[in-house]
Amino acid sequence: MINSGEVLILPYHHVVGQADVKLALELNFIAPRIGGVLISGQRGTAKSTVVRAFSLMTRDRLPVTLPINATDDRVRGGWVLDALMQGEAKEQMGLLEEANGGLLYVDEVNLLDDHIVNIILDVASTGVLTVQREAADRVKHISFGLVGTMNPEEGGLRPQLLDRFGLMVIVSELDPALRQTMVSTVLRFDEEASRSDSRWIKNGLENDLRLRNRLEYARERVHKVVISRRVAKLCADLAAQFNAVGHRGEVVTALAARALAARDGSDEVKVQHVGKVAPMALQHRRHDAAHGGPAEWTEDDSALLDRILGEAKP
Amino acid sequence: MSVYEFGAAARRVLLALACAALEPGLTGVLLFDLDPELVEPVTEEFASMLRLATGCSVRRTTLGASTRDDELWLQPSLRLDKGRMVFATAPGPLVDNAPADGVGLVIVPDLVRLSLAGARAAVQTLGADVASIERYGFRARWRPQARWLAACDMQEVAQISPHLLDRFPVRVNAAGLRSSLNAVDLVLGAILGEKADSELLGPLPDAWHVVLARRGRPRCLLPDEAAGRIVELLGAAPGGRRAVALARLTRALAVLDGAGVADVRYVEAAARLIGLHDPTHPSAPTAVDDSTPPAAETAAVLRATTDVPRSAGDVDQDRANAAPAMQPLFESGRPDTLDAFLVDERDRPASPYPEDEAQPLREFAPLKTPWQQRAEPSSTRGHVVGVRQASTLRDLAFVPSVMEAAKYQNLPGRRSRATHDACNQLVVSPSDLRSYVRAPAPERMLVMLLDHTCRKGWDWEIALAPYLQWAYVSRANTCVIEVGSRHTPSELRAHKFTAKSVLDPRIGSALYRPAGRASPLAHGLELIRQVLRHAFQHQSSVDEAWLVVVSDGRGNVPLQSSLVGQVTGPVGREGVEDALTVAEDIGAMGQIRLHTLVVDAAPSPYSDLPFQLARAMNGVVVAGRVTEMTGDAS
Repeated sequence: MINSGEVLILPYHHVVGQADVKLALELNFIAPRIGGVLISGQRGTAKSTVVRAFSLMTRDRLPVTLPINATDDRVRGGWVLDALMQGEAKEQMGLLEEANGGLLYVDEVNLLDDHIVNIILDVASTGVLTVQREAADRVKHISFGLVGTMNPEEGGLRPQLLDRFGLMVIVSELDPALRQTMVSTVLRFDEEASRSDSRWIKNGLENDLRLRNRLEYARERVHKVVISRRVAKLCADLAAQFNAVGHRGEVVTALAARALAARDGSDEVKVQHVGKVAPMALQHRRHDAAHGGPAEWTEDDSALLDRILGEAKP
Repeated sequence: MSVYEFGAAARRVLLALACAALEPGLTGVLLFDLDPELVEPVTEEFASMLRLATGCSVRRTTLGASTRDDELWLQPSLRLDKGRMVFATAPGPLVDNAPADGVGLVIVPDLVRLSLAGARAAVQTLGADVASIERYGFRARWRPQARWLAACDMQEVAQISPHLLDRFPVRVNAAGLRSSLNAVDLVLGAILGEKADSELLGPLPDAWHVVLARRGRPRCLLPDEAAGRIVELLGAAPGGRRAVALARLTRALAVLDGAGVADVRYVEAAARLIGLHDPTHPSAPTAVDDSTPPAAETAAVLRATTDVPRSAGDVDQDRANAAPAMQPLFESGRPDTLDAFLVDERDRPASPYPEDEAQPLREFAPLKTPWQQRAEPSSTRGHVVGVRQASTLRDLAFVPSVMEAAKYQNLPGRRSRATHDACNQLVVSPSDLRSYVRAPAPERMLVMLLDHTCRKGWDWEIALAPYLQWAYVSRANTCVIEVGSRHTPSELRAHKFTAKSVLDPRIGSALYRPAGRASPLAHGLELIRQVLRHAFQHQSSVDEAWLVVVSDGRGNVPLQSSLVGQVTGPVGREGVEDALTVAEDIGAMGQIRLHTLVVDAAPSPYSDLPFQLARAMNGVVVAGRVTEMTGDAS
């Protein structure tokens, strides 16, 4: 792989706003079974920057990235051409295999070509990558979390792919005060990134490290967090009330609520944990969104959620 | 300290390009209404500034309507290595490897006509922290540093994806840019093939030259007050790219001016440069009028400056350029507190971000690779959506073909053949050949005119269903012309949009738009005439089209009123007569590939109007409304 030019990414700590996006990524890190995060938002809302900064913070490297114009040999895997020409058959790992156990990031996921989407869906739904082409014949069990960013102005996602994302976050525009902070931060990063001894960047990275330690600790203890039958029923009721298609909605709601409890240092999942994650877990699984309509969470939805949560509180 | 005054278009463009050369974060610059002949000289001047600012060579790449992915990301090559022919792939022109390979400069002479592959490449790389490529076994990851210089006609902005336009937050009006060469020089230059114009933008002022030549932007702080003013100027603009770009532009201006702090005055200067108006004071634009002397208070600020970097040559240049073109598109006249309202929508000064207000004329999801499903064989002119084993020699995909061949070079059969022929060449067999799979160019078209004023109490979806179903089954392009909608920016005009397929959600919305008061039927038919002419004369792939007009024929807006945007007096039957005249023009096209029908809205009175309309278009009338009017369905 050719790597050219030092990649400069703003430390996660310095990313302004985007609380919901950060929360979703952190929950997915604590409980990878959530299955990934879809970040939908208008152009220029730092969606990609947050994802890359998060990956650098938690994994010390950029995420395995699937560009929208990738060819299928790079997605599934193929042969190393140079070695082939020397008479040696050397396998080249595909991006899906490379993302095994981690994240596969797709920027502009709604612009991905249909045949690549089909490959991802095949592997994500079965957990098996099968390569039978060009004299290659191999089968491998893999699992990865899918993280995608998209601008809904450019079209939506196929329902099958939408469902593969455990959580969905709709990025909101920053208010004027945060916008001002964002502008100042970006310009400061421009300045500081050119200095090798920047205290500001160092401070950001130290904070990132502290957060990473907290997230890793939460990940270790997430399985010890108790989820009661009452809370599990609440997750199921919410999915039913919001007309979520299939059963992945309630499962992901419960997984995310437990991850949030672990992140907050709680020993059991409480109603407020469920309430916090329910929009992320359910909004893209409702009937309209699952059949090609817009995924959105309205004030009426929030009111309904509050009512259901209120009834569920002991 | 000096504060910049922007005179001629040349000065604006020169300054914007100097800022882009100085500030690595200003990667996308869009020039509005640049004369196509001036793209090359402007590019040359920008390239020289980049060379000065970076100390590197400049690698130029031009993208156009036929640019394909294979040309952008990979550079395949064949070379002889130890007596054997080796196929290798190297990074393509969009893969940055600065400073080793020089700094990239991507030129898009017409952004409207940029190919799908080029548009997707821009979205992937412009302004991104990191970009990557994974194609045909080749992998690369890099920090995009190339500058993009694009041009487009402001009137055509609505055809471009806003997602793509957002990658070009620095916009400059170049409408007034004129060549400084006289006619004789131009003729001689054209005949002798000499460089067109080396002084188009005027010489780079010495102070700027010094700053650029330092090769590295010095530190410059942006105070909170300036950041706040930037946010205030941009209002509720979508996303953060514009704010960040304006901040970087502000900083670059301050640095060019030798300042260590980019204060609010530089914010105002940056806003003037791109033609941004103050939303909090709409009658007091930030721009200084080119053609009039500055107001006294502004002049005082300018007088206080010590070094406005303008040479005598600049002034002459400005004068030469200014005369014919001092009607700036972005900039309004001097602040005038007498008029606190806008008289007419068209009088309002244009914004550097016209896509925020323009009625979209682009296709639905324009950056997405088209669907492959089709009922009919397609031509070979559609967008590339993949490769397959070639069955003919048409439309071969050379890179995948050679790559396929390269995989098998070491097999005994091919090795012996290469040895036998003693040519040491890459052996390509017919089974290696790959051809492009292309999205179909549409061969069917449905043109629908929906007159919302005739829909009272009528669910016209039933009447339209057969035509929509035909469009779905045959994967037809669908063009919808809406007349008389209440939700329209101008009720005197009809509006159209084109969808790749009938599944486009805009079509569903268009079917149930509430009715307004005006019915610009003549203008709607005029739009149809243009669409059909374009479809049959320029898009030769269209084999069959259906024109479905749903109207009661009672147009009440004359065509002239629609075109000029105002009604000047009583209209009488003029709207109806104009509609019939345009309908006759459509009928006179005599297209045997066009099926025309008018869905009878059963108007009462004037029930004969739909029949007159159909007769004029050489079409037929079909029954539409079958129930009595029961009230307003809208």
